Amino acid sequence: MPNFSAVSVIIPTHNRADSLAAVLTHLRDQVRDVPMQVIVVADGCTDTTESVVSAFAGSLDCRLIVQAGKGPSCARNAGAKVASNDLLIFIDDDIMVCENFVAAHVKAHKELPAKNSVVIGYCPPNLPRKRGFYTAYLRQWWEVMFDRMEEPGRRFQYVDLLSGNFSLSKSLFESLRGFDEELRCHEDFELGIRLIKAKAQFAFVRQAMGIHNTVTTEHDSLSRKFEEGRADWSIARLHPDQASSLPFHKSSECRRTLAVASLPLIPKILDAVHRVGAGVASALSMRRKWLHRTYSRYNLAYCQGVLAEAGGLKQVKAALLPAPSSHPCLSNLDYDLAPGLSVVEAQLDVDRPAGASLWLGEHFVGSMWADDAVERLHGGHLRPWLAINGWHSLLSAGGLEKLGDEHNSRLPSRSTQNARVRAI
Amino acid sequence: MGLPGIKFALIFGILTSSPATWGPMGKRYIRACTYHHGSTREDECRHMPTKVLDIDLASLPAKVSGLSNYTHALTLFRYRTQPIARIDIPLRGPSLSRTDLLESLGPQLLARMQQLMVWDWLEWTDRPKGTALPTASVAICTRDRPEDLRACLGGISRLVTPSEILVVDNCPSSDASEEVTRQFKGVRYIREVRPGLDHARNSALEHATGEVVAFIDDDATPDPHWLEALLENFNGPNVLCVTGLTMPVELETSAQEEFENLSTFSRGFHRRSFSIANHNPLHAGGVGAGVNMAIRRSARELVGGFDNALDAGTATQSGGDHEYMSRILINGFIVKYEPRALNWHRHRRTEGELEKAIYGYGVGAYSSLIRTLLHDRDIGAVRVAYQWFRHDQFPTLMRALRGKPGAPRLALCLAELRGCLKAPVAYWRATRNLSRARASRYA
Repeated sequence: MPNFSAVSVIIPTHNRADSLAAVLTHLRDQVRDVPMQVIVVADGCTDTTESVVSAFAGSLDCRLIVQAGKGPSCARNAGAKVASNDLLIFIDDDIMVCENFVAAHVKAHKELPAKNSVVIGYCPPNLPRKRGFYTAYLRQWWEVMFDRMEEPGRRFQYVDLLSGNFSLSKSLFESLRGFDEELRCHEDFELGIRLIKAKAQFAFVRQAMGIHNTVTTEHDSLSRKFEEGRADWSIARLHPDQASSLPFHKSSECRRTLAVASLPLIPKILDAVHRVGAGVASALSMRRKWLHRTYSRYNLAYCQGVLAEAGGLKQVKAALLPAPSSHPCLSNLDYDLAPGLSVVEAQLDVDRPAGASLWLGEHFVGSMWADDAVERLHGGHLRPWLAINGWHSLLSAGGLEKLGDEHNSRLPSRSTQNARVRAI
Repeated sequence: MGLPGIKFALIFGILTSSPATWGPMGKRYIRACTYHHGSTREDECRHMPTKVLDIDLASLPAKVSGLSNYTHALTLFRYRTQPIARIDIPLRGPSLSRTDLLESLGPQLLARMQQLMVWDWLEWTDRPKGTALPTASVAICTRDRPEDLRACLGGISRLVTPSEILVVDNCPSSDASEEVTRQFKGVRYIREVRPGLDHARNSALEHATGEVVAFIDDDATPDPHWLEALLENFNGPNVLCVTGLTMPVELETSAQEEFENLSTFSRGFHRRSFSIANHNPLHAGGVGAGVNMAIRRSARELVGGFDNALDAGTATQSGGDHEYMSRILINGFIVKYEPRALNWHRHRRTEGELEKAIYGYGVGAYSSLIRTLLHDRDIGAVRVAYQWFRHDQFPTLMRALRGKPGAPRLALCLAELRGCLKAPVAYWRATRNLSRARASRYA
C-alpha cells in the first residue's frame, strides 16, 4: 500500500574503502525509476573512504557523514536522521546489490497492505572458494535461513530481520527511535522485537538481492558468538518478555554450558579439546561429529559472552527463573469463513490479531495460535495456513462429497448470518 | 584389538552405520518408497510386460483399454501437471475402469488428492514463485543413437518454455546424428571429438549461452513442463543443481523391469532441498541422476567442471554425474529435487545390455569414490564404500544366492560387485588415457 516516492540508501562503513567503492558502483548502475539518495556513514574510518565517496559525487546523489567509532547502530541512526526521503533502505558495505534492488524494495512495499511494512531482502553469501566443512556449512546455513523466510504463510520472527539488507519507512523508523545504540551486535534482532510489538508487517523479497561478499573465518565466528552472548543478555534486560526465546534461556545445552563456562580455566581446556576433536573429525570427513564439536565451541563462546555481560553465574541464574508474566494474555479472535476468504483476509489486515480461530458456520476449522514472539497475523497468512494445516477440517466442515463432485465450485455457505467477530 | 585392528578401525572411521541412504547409487533407499501398495508380484511371473500409464486425476478417463497383453500397469498418477504417485496395479482384465484406478490409490493418496483439490479451491500453490526464470539451454549429449535423438528432439520442441537447444555429439562414428539435428530448426550442433560423456557435458557448459544448462539423455523424452519446473527452483546463486523425476517410458521386457526394480531413477514425489547439512555428500545417488538434471553455468567457476575421467565413453563407464553432485554438496551449495520436472526414459531392453549397465554402475560408483579420495583426500569415501557393501550389496547378494523373492538376479549382483572391484584399474586407465590425450594435443 505505501507508495514511496523516493528512497534513501544508508550504508554504515568502517575501513572497507574497496568494498564500499564496489557497492557504490552497483548502486550507481541501478535501474532508476525512483529518485535515490545514498548516505554513507563513515564510522571511525582511517582509510580512503572519504575520497571514494567524493569520487562518486558526480554520478550518484551521495552524502558522507563522519562519526567517531560509535558502532553500526549509531551510524545507521545518524544516517536515518539526515535522510530526506521517505523510504529507508539499510545495506552493509559488503552487499553488492543487483540492478533491480531498489525497484524491488519499492514494489514490495507497494504490494503489502499494511502501512507499517518492513521488507527484508535476499543476501546470499559469496564465500571464497575454500575447501572444508566450515565454508560449506556456512554457505548452506544462509540458504536455509532464506528458504525458511520464503516458506508460504511464514509468521516472521525478530531473528529474521537482517540489518544488512532491509527497508522500512522513515516514519516507522523514527517512531521507534531507531536502533539501540548500546548494542554492538544483534541490534537488528532488538529492532525486530520492537517492530513486532508495533504490529509491523514483514515480507521477504528474493528479487531485492545483494550478494554478500564475506570473508569470515572460524575464528571470526567464535568472537562473534561471544559478542552475541553479550548482546543477548542486554536484549533480555531490555525486553524481559522475550527473554525466554533467547538461546541462553531456551536451549538446555546452553544452560548446562553456562555452568561450565563460569569456571576458571575449564572453558579454555574444553575449547582446546573441541578444537582438536573438530580437526580430527574434519580429517576423517565425519560431518556430524565436526558439527557437534564446532557447535560446542560456539556454545561455549556464547555462554562466556553472556556471563561477561551479566557479571557472573548468579546474575544469570536469577534471570533464568521464570518471572511472573506481567504482559496481558494473548487471545484468539474468531473469524467465520462462510462469507468468503477475501472478506476474512481484509478483516485480518485491519485487526492484526495475535491469533485467530477459524470457523465455517458452526464448524470449527482450526486455530492460528497466538504467539508474542512472532508477527501479528494479516490477510496473507490465511490461505497458506488453510492450505497446509486446515484443508482437512475445511473439507469435513464443507462436506467431502460436495467438493469431490464439483471441485471447482465454491463451498456452500453454511450460515445465513453476517460475518461475526467476537473475542473470547 | 591390537595394532592392525586399531589401524583397521581408524582407516574405516567410526563403524557406526546410518543406512538411511544406502550406497552411492541410493538404490535400496528407493525400493522402500517405490511401490506404495506392495503387490505380490515377486512370486508371480516376472516376464510378462508391464504397461506404463500416465493418468491425470483431475480428468480421469472412464476406462483405460488395450491392456490385454499385460499383467500389471505401472501408473503415474498426476493432479493436473503435478505427479503425485506411482502405483503398480495388478491387471485382472483387458481394461481398467475409473473405480479400479481410484481404488488402487489408497487412503493416503486420496487424501493428497483432496489436499490438492482444496488448493485449487483456495487458488493457492506451493510452487516457488517470485523470481524470474533464469535463461536456459537444453543440452543433449549423444553418441550414435540417431533415432533416440530424433524422439528426444521431438519432445523438446514441445516444451512450453523456450530455450536454446544444443546437441553435443560425442565422438560419432557417422554423420547420422548431425543429419537428425539439421532436421530440427534452431538446434545447435556441437561435435565433441574427445570420447567421454563428461567431455560432452563440459562442452555443453562451455558453449551454452543460458544461465542454466538442462541436461537430458538422448534416450529420454521430456514432459512439456519439464524445463519450467527445473528453472523455477533456481531461486538463488547458491542453488547449483536441480534434478527431476524420471519414469520409464515402457516396461516391455524383463530387463527393463529388472532395471526399474533395481535402480529406478525416481526419488519420490515431494520437492526436496539437499545440502551438506541434511545429506551425506558422498551419497549423491540419492539426490538425482544425470538423465534429468540442470546445472547452473556458474558452477564451472565455483566447483569446477565435470571430471573428464568419469562416465560413459571412458574406462569408468558411469559416475560422472554423481561425482559432480557430490562436489556441489561438499562445497556447501544446494541441490534441489523437483518431481514436477518429469521426463521419460527408455531403459535398456536386453539382459546383456542391462548386465553391462549394472557393471558400469559398479565401476562408476567406485571410481567416483576413488576420485574423491584422491583429489579431496576425503576418507569418507572409504566409509561410504564399506557401508554400501555391508548394508546393501552383501545382504542383497545373500538374498540372491538363497533365491529369496524380491531379490535381484544373482548375475546382476555379481556384475555390480565385479564392477566395483574393477574400478581402481578402470580409474587408473581412464586418467592415464586422459593425460596421454592431453599430452598428444600439446605435442
